[in-house]
Amino acid sequence: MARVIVDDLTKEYNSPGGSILAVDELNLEIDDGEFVVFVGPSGCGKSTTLRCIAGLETVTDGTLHFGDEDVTDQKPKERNIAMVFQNYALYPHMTSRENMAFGLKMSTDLSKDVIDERVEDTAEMMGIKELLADKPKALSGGQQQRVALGRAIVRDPEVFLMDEPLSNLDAKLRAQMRTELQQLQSELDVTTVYVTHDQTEAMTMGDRIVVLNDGKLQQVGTPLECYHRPANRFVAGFLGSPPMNFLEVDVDLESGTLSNSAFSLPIPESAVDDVSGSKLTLGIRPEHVSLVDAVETHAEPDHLIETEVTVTEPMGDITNVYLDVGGESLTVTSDDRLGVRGGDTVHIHVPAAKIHLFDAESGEAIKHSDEPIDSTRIAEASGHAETA
Amino acid sequence: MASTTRQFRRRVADLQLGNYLPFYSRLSEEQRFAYKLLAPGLAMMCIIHFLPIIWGTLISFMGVDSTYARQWHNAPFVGLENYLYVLDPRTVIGGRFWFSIRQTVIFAVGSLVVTYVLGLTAALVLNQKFKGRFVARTLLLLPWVAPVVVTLLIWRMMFQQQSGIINNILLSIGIIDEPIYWLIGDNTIWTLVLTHSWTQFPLVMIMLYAGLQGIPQQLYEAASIDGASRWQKFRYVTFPQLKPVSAVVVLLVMLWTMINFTAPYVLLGAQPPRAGQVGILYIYEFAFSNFQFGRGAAMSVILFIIAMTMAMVYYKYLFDDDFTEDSQ
Repeated sequence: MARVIVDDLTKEYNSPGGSILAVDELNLEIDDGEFVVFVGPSGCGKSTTLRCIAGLETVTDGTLHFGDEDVTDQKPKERNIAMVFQNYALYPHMTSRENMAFGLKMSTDLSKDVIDERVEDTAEMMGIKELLADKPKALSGGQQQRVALGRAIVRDPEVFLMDEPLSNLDAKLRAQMRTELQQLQSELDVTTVYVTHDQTEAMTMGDRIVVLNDGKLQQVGTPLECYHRPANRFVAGFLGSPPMNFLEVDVDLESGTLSNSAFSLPIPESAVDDVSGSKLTLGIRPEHVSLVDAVETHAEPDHLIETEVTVTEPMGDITNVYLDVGGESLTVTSDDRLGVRGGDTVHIHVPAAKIHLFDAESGEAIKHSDEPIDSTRIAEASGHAETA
Repeated sequence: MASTTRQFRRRVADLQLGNYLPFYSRLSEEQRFAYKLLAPGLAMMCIIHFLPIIWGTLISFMGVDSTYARQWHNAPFVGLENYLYVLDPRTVIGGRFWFSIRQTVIFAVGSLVVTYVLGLTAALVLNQKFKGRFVARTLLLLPWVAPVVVTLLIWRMMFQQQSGIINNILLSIGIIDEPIYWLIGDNTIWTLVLTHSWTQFPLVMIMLYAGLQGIPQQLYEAASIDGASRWQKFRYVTFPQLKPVSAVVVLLVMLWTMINFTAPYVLLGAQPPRAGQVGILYIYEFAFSNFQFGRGAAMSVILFIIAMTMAMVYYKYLFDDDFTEDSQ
């Protein structure tokens, strides 16, 4: 078990067209036993960071510590880590048992009996005991995945590294493995770094998520923090499906409004002091916008916008409604069975409390929605609502 | 031109192949096309390989000697007599034939080992990233690309006992005190092995190199994390992953060496020293110097059967497994 401390980690690749900066001065502390998910689009540097932690890539600059030990220049085998690869990277010519035993055979001087016992215990835990004699080719994707996980677990490493381990599984199995992996991690209590481009995995699995873009750290926080208090427009847009709506607005401090060609909304009270400049990006999550029937009696009449429906997407449990707001597209997610269709004119409610504001140029967040982001706050909020 | 093609097509269509070959009409258009493409190759195979095999087998049961050299079809049928004669170790010819088979096996196994080790080493070196590896690859292919007779003649010159450069070098650096007789006496079989391996190893190298390129990098990364050293990565990842291509290489080199005529003939001549008398050379000498075509054919058939048996046994026990188990 170990804390992982990443200090000013920089990784540059030399390519014929000049050097490519894959990771740019990344700083991060991962607690002992923590499950941290690196998430970001392709090429954001998440896998490279993981590979640096694994020792598969040399670090251009900065240091890496496991606990108090500087591992920056150590070889992978000296780091006591285990890794699960996207394509599993099982040795095709070895049986599951041999695959799982290989690490112990190479890195320890345990006797064959002890290794066998540990392999069997792990296989039992992973539910793959009957597959031990099979070679990878005879196994399904899900089974290979389990063997690959078993191979990592049996080593009893200080740090687990997982590089998109679920992305080759079908949707159903992926959902199942997601839950299993979380359980497994909390049982084993091993520091885990998990790389994914799938924001559902990021949101559901990690104790904390690390959002990366272009080799730069965007935000570190619990999933709900990142979701409801995004540090910048990138994080806000990356997490959530459908993604957050962004509308470019002009600020009029005199009249206290945010407006564009299609609407004019009052500047939320909580943000009045922080707003400056003339242009901002307004962000609002699709689930926070609602379609309004009774326009006249609405509680926040100045937060209503008249729009036209372009497309509706019934998903079964929810419906995505795509609207046209002054030439920009806006998505509303609703769990009502809506009677609206493309071409209809509707009113939508953009609640002041749920609005995010971002600097139009830097993308830095200026105001967040008031959604609670941890369980105590959620309890407080609901208690508050009751007393109110 | 187009009309000629059309006429040709019509003529082929007029043949109504389907009427003569019931199975042909059952084939899909695609399969028929495949057979048409295969036909010229198959025809060549028939002329170059199958017909001589049949003819040779036929002759091996007949008393074809100098008397019948020009009219072999009139030679008497002698049943298994030729075989019994050449296989009888008590006769001079039988004894020499058995000895030549033994030398053939040494030649084949020796060449295989040397070729494989050389080829694998070269492939592993080429698989490293270093400047000039593409030049190195071309240079390493030269022994195989150069006309084999030229290569062999050069080796023959280099192996000369007095004037050859090899003895000169070995003498001057003090490895040997007296010139070695490379081309006469007991050493000839090893000279043969070395020379033949030199001409063959680039092919093995290229095949193994292709095999190496096909091994997923992730396996090495997984092995690194599992704590394997360089040698252990070779032992537990590279070598097993090369098994399918090695299986092909081993089979081909074995068979090609067993029936190789050029190397022994150019290096040692038609009447080689005893130790250099591999099967194919002995058969040649026996059949064409003594005009004993029937018995020579019997020897050929025996060599053919030995080679085929080895190939089949090998295929059954090694090949099969490895080909169902492709690398991921």
